[in-house]
Amino acid sequence: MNPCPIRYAVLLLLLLTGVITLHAQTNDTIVEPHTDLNEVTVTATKKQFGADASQMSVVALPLEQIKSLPAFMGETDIIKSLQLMPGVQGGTEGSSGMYVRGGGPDENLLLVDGVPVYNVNHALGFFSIFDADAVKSVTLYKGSFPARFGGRLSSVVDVQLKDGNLYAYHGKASIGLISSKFYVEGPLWKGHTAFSLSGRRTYYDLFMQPVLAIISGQNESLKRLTAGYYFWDVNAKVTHSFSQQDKLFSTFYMGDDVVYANVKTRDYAVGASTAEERLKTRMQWGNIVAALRWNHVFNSNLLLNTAVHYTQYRFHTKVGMETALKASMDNENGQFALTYNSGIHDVTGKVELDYTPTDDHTLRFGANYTYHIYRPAIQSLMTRMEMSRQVETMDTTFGDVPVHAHETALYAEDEMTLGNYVKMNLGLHYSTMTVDSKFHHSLQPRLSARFKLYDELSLKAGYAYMTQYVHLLSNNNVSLPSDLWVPITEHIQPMKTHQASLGLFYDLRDWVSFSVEGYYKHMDNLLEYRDGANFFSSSSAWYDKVCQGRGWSYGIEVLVERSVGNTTGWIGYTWSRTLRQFDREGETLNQGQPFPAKYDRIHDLSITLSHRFSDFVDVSASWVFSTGNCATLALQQYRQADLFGYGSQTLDYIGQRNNFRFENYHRLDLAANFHYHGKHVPRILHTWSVSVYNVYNRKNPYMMYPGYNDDEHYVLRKVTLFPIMPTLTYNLAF
Amino acid sequence: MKHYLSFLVCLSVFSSCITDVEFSSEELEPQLVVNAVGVVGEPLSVSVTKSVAVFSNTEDITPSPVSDATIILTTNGHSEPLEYDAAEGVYRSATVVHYADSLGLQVAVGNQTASSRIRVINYGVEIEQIRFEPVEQDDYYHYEKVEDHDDSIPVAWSLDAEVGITLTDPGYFHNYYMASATVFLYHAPANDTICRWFRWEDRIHNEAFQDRYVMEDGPYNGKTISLSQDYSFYCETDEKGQSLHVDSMAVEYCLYSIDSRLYRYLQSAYSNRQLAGFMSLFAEPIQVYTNINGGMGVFGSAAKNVVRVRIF
Repeated sequence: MNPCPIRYAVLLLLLLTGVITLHAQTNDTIVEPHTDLNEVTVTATKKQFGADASQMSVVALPLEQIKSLPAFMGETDIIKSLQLMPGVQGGTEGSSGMYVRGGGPDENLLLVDGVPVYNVNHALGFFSIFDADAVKSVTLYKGSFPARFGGRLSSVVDVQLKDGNLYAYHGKASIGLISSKFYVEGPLWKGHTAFSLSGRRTYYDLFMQPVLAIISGQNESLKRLTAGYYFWDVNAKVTHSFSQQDKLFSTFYMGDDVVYANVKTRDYAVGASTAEERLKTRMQWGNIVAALRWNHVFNSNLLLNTAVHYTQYRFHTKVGMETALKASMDNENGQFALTYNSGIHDVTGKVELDYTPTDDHTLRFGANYTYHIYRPAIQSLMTRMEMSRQVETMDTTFGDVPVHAHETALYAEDEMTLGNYVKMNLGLHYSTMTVDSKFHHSLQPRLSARFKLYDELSLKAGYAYMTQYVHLLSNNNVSLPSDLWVPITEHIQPMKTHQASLGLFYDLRDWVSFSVEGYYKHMDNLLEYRDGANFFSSSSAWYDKVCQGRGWSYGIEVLVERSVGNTTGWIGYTWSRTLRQFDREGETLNQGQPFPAKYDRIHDLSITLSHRFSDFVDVSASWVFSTGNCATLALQQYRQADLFGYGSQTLDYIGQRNNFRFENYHRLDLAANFHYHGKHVPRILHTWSVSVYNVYNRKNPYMMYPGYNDDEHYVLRKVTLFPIMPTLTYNLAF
Repeated sequence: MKHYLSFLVCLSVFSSCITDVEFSSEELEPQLVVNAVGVVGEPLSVSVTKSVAVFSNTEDITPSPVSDATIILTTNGHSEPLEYDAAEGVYRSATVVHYADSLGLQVAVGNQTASSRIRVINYGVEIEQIRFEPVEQDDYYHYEKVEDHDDSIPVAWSLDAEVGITLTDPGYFHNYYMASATVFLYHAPANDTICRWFRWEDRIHNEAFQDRYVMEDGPYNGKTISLSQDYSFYCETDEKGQSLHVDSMAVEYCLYSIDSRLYRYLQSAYSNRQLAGFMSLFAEPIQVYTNINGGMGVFGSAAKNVVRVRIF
């Protein structure tokens, strides 16, 4: 039997309410000097996006708080933390997929220092590429997008990396069960140039080698077997200040995931000769991001921001095989190698101006141009046969032709204050895309307005029209490195959304804030796979496997958040529906009737709580609950009638697309952090973190598949990937 | 502490990660399956069965016909109950179906009900021309085309032929067709009949069925359509492997003008059957079309045109 989620919810709500109430009663009399730094950070956040700000549907992630929360396998993850916010849902268990207000994972614009990143996943999505130690701030926009953002439908995640410290060296290092990482920052030229550098690598593959050596030792046919998986990434940033008016920022990120397997056989007899075989496979994928940004302050009213940046995502697979035949008279050798490459390259140049003519107006306008190169799938085959001193080789390349595209954008926005009660951000974003000599363009109005009802309570409204020119071809279940980014074609039109939102925001004397937002989002030209389309089949072009339709999402999001004091946390709840309808001629799904989207989760609740007992100990907990995902599943079978005398066959019956709901998802995580300063080097702060993922061992579904159980009954089987998992991590900081 | 850690380790390691999914009784409850095609000039026959839960832990999914259903057919406002024909396992109407009839069907079995409403197609397109052109390909086998029965037909023989039909699409609205060609071989001594269907191989667009050609007029709206194919046939053998003496041979060409519901049902049912095997795990499931409210199956209409040609 499944544990009753309602019971857990009520219990945890009561517990949380009790703790918050208890703390609230005593909070006024407590002075907490050790939390000064946190308070400054949070105050800035409140001023930016609280009840006073014009912007709505935006979340500034409380980074310091996030780091104390229970972490999956000990690795604090930015994207997974965002999933705890209302309006944001995760994909499958443990993955860092993000579904914002009914949008797909390809509808999120993920920016690192202003540079888009196409694949933010490590390890099939179990980790994201963002190293929390290297990140200065994370801001998520879910709607009412300012005009400076464009190109994606559903969200913008603006990640700013740390600039480095101009005056002192600081660093952090951590050793976890599966990975280790470091972060260091400091001055290169005191007061003028600073750097920050971080790196991370998993070492699961290193642990595997002794096991594989034992396996290969026990196998008579194997001489050597090595295999493994690892990922690594590096963030580097250098900031140079020429003067008070001019600053230069350079950002570099590179990361890779690598899966490899090398097999070498023992010599075996082939007639009178012996032979050995070697098999080498390697799959590698990752991003490169590089940016150079120059800030120039003309005067106190005018600021220029100029940048060039490059982003690349690449996926590479190579399978190589070599057979060597050792004969008494002569040797023969055969080699075979097949490679598969895909990827995307972008080069962007942009100029932005911030102009503040009066206290009541802040104008931002700018332009950018991006040159895209899409390489959907390029394969090459190499064979080499050496026989009786004669060599025959073949080296050929085939596959899709690279697609070149040009994207431009112009925007202007005005952050204006109208009297004491009204503040708004009004903007216009115009974008164009030229691909295959086809020109597309879109004019997108944006609006976000705040009406102050009284000092700490405001009503906000927003509207945004967004257009997206790229699509991610994915099987939707897991994030695979082979997922392809493809541009619009003459068959596939740009995706578009209109989103309107309305909300109430209340800040209660700087210690807790409340917000309630409702939204309605209409989406057009969405992509879905056609009935029967096979993701792995290459018998037809990708655009023949998909069809376009529309969708809509609506919901209410509630957030209660406390970011200051010893006890912090938030409760985020979302009620939402996300539906799709594909009823265009030749592109019909579900008989043209509306159906729930795969990630249509009606209820989504997350409760996080952190409490700092002292400078030495803090504890945290998070509990999440959500309605199960949808899947299309044949639950009934029937015999097709013998309508015309041609016999009858068995058919699967599917009532509608996404007719089956997985069971509800819920999970409790706990963590405790113990801090102390070293005796010999007091500057170093040591932290031991113990966290337990899925404390009550809830068997949440990761995937399902049909099969036979031990009783030989045909059943649907549920795979749970992550049962209860304790993790120990060691961190040091100086 | 040691015990606590041991407990955690055991809990983690021995947690079963693969479990069976339990379904609610609603999800497992058999649904009504109603199949009916109103063929112009014939009484309506309705087949009623029930579906079987896929994950019901039973191996037999062959349903038996439901014989205790109450079925009311409404034709242009006039209602009649359908009688059950136990021999055929179907319900039949007393009246025949006409072009453009408005038909309503209400089915009740126990506390389950299903219904559907259609308008019968307005016309039926007829075959204009047929083709059957034998081509001898192999000297070893001997084939002789004769107009009438001829005892000199050899025992071992093969037949290669080009066959085809021609029709003219009326050109208004969308029209849908289903075409088939069936070979009938008659042999002594019991004058048994062996039926062999042509395997239509589509050369026009990819909508070929194994035995039937189901198509929509699409690019041929208002034009003459020729369906043709190569046909290859080898002599039949009896239980002992001896070639049968074929006395005569006939080909039956059948052209149905069908409505869009039936077309969509046949198309999706065909695709549904094709999606099998390991790779289907990576494919989107195929939803079979239905216009039965409260159940599954199809209620459609058709007009039939049959031409039978004796080859020898």
